[in-house]
Amino acid sequence: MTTTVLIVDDSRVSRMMLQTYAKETQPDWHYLEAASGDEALRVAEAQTIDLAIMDVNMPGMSGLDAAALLRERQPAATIVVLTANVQQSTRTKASELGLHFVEKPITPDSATRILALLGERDA
Amino acid sequence: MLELTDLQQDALTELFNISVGQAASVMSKMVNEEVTLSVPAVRFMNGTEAADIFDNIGNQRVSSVCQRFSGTFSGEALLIFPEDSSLEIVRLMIGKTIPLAQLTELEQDALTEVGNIILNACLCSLSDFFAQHFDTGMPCLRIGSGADVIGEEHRNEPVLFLHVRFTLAERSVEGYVAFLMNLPSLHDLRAGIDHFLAELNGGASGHETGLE
Repeated sequence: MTTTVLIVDDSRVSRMMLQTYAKETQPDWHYLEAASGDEALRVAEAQTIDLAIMDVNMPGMSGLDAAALLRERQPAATIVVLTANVQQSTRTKASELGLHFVEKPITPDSATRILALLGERDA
Repeated sequence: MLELTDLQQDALTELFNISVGQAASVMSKMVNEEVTLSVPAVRFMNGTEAADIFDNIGNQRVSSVCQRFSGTFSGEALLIFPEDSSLEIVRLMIGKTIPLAQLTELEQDALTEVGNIILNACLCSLSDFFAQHFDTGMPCLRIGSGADVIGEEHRNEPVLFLHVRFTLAERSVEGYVAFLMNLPSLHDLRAGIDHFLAELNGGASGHETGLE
């Protein structure tokens, strides 16, 4: 069965970069996009998400709030926070929610690291 | 006007220097090129004077990514480039992953995201120093004269203006990272610096750290 990845970021460029790098490693996976936390939850209503990659600072619902709801609704999903907001307080909140944490900028290495987290127990 | 002691000003300059250094490290990673930094300048000035500094970048319009932050102290962080360098910077940072035809269309989105990453690196470092969380607003892009990027609320009031010039040596691209803070916030900033200095001195009293 195909692995489904949901990329959530209000920056279209960031979504494009991440998907480009991810496809270099996993070209056959199914990639979905959302530009906000609310949209991510709507997308996830109709799909089983294997890996969600979530920005934090977005208009409307924050990525951390969206991740917490997604965790409730799809406990099996691996959720990775990918953010420029690398303050310790943000890392702590992510950790408390049981989320993986990866810093921006998005690079080929960080994309590979994120994909490798699929199926790993969250932090 | 609120004054800082020499020690407070020295500490603030050094904290800002290290924070922008973090941001430069991130930028260097994004462009695969060395980024050099000037010595930080920390000055009280009127908002219009700060605008004049940006107007003198190559005598042209500038692009600025602005991000409000609030916490122990509050203000606005800015990443500023000459307008005609913006596309070059975006191309350096993301050009390989985005088709050239789409690059111009996505320039503003890309520049905002670049600013978001660099300014957050800076704020994160300050957050570590002050052991305080900063809430950050959504980054926004302003293009125009120095006065346009400084923002209306800062134009006619005294501000603490910290700025560093950075240069991508191989591309002759330069820009600024700047922080603007108004006077009410400066009282909180000064308290934050004093706390930092006191921690350095192992809990020394305010007098020993240069406090008045």
